[in-house]
Amino acid sequence: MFIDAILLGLASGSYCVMFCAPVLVPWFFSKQIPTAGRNALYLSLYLAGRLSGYILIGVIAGVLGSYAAGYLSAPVDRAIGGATQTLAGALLIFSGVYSLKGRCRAAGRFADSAGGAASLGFLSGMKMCPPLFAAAMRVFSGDLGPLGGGAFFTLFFIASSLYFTPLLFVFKLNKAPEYFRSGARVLCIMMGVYYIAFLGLPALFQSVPALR
Amino acid sequence: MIKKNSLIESIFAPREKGASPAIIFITSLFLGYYLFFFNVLLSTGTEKISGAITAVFFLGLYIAMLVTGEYSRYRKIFLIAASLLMVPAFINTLIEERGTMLVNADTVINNENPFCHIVFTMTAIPLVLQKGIIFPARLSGHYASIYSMLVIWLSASLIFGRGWCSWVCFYGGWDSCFSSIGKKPALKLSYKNNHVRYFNFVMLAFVTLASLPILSAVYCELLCPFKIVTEFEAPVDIFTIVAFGFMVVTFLTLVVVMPFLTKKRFQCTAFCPFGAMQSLINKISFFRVRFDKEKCTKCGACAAVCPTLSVSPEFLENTKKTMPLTCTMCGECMNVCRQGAITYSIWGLPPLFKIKETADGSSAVLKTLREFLIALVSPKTLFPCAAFLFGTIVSGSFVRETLELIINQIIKLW
Repeated sequence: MFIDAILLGLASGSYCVMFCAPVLVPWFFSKQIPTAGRNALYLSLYLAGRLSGYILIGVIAGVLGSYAAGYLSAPVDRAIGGATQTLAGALLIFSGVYSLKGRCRAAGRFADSAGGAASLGFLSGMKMCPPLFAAAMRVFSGDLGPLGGGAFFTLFFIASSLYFTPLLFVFKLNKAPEYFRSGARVLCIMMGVYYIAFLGLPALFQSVPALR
Repeated sequence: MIKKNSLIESIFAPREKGASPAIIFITSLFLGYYLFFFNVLLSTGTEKISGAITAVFFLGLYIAMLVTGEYSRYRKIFLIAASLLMVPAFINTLIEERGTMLVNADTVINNENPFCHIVFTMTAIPLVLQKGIIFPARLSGHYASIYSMLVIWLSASLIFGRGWCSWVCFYGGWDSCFSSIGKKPALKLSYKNNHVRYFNFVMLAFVTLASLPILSAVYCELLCPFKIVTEFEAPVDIFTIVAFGFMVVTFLTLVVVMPFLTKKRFQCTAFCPFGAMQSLINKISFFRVRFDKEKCTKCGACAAVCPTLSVSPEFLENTKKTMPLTCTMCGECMNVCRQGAITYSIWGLPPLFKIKETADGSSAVLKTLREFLIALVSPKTLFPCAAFLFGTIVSGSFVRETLELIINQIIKLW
């Protein structure tokens, strides 16, 4: 079962990158990361946040077992996805606006810091992307219990995280011209708006009957 | 009576401006053969008439380009004509195929949407990571299939990189058209603001990343201004209404109003993600535009006419030998540079082939012939020929079909 988790992570890690990159790339590239250590810290925090999201889903899946499979239906999945994407979008906007103009001080400072990296990781981990959904289904069908579920998702996370290693070298762009980072900050804002307006809110509206 | 030497010289010797008659003849023969073969010989009925008009029109523009040496003027006429004449033929083809220019569920399910070169910006990463193409188009067997566009785009890009935008792109001609109306800009873009040219790199990053989580081409669905002259979804729900609104607003502001006010190719400069991708490909393309700092007097004429804000006074001060990344190889700067400081070049080769003087001294005829051969294979001759050929390959059939539509209408009225 746990070899399954590693193989699933390795096989579908590129999918994870496709779902995480739109959030991760603008955020990372908008910062002037001075050292390899700081770079590794940001990435570790992002991955730790993502891991905690995975474990949370793993524990829930493990607790509920196969009983939950019927309930993790499209509306619930959409609602969780919509909420996490809306929040991730807001974080990106705050981060972009703060680093571009120094506005939205409290929220911006948080979004632009290590806390922002961890939060984005957690929100990415909570979004049920196809690989995560496949992993959840595996846990449901295996009736692993909360500990087993959490362990399965941890191994899945470790295997899929290998695809994120190129981001350890963002600090090499430290000496890139200022307009490179300005562009990345604008990209943060654009991606944030896109996440909220086209991914997050529509999914929320579709999932909550009262809002339809 | 003309002396033998002067006759040979008048035919073969390179000229100060424009190409020698021999070069014009040889390259026109090559281009003319292609144009007449595909547009006239392979056509039937009224297609032959429209094909002949197309071939003569294109060949005339090419010859005028070589005779006058003003590449950009005739290139611009070609690009604008190709862009404007592309639209009726394209829409007519859609109506023949599906009965409407609107995108509908059937065309999406059956992968029947024409594949446009801009989609490459969004399909590359999913193709590498997931081995799938996230655009509902045919793989082959169609003029706008994925394979045919891939072959044309890849070969054109490797040969002249972002030269695509000035010599091939049937969308770029729209910008070029509206930026050519009137002479003085009502809104003068300051050189301090020329960082606007980097915004299309942001757009490239945005459309590439935004397409990943939904596995769909975001630019085509939401942002492309040119859907208004090609195909678009009927505005039936909130998403398609927003997309329709975006399309109208971006077309009017970026393609019509801003180019008209600034006299610059604003959409191509600041919005098109494909342009940004081509800029990156410029780094590995065969043809380049070389800037000779020694000859430059820093008069700024090139910066003033550059349609994509690529040349700036800061650039003229620096020591680089090649033009900035965002150069579209349009040739506008070459037209106005009196010092001849800007020329087409080939990657890795010196700007001009030096003619070695032999010890015993060659005859004038041999020297002229040698100069002719060198001029024939020089970038100044090869680049316009290659770029124009690609332009006609992409736009030729559209122009021919539109002319055929017009001829058929005239015949009906007659």
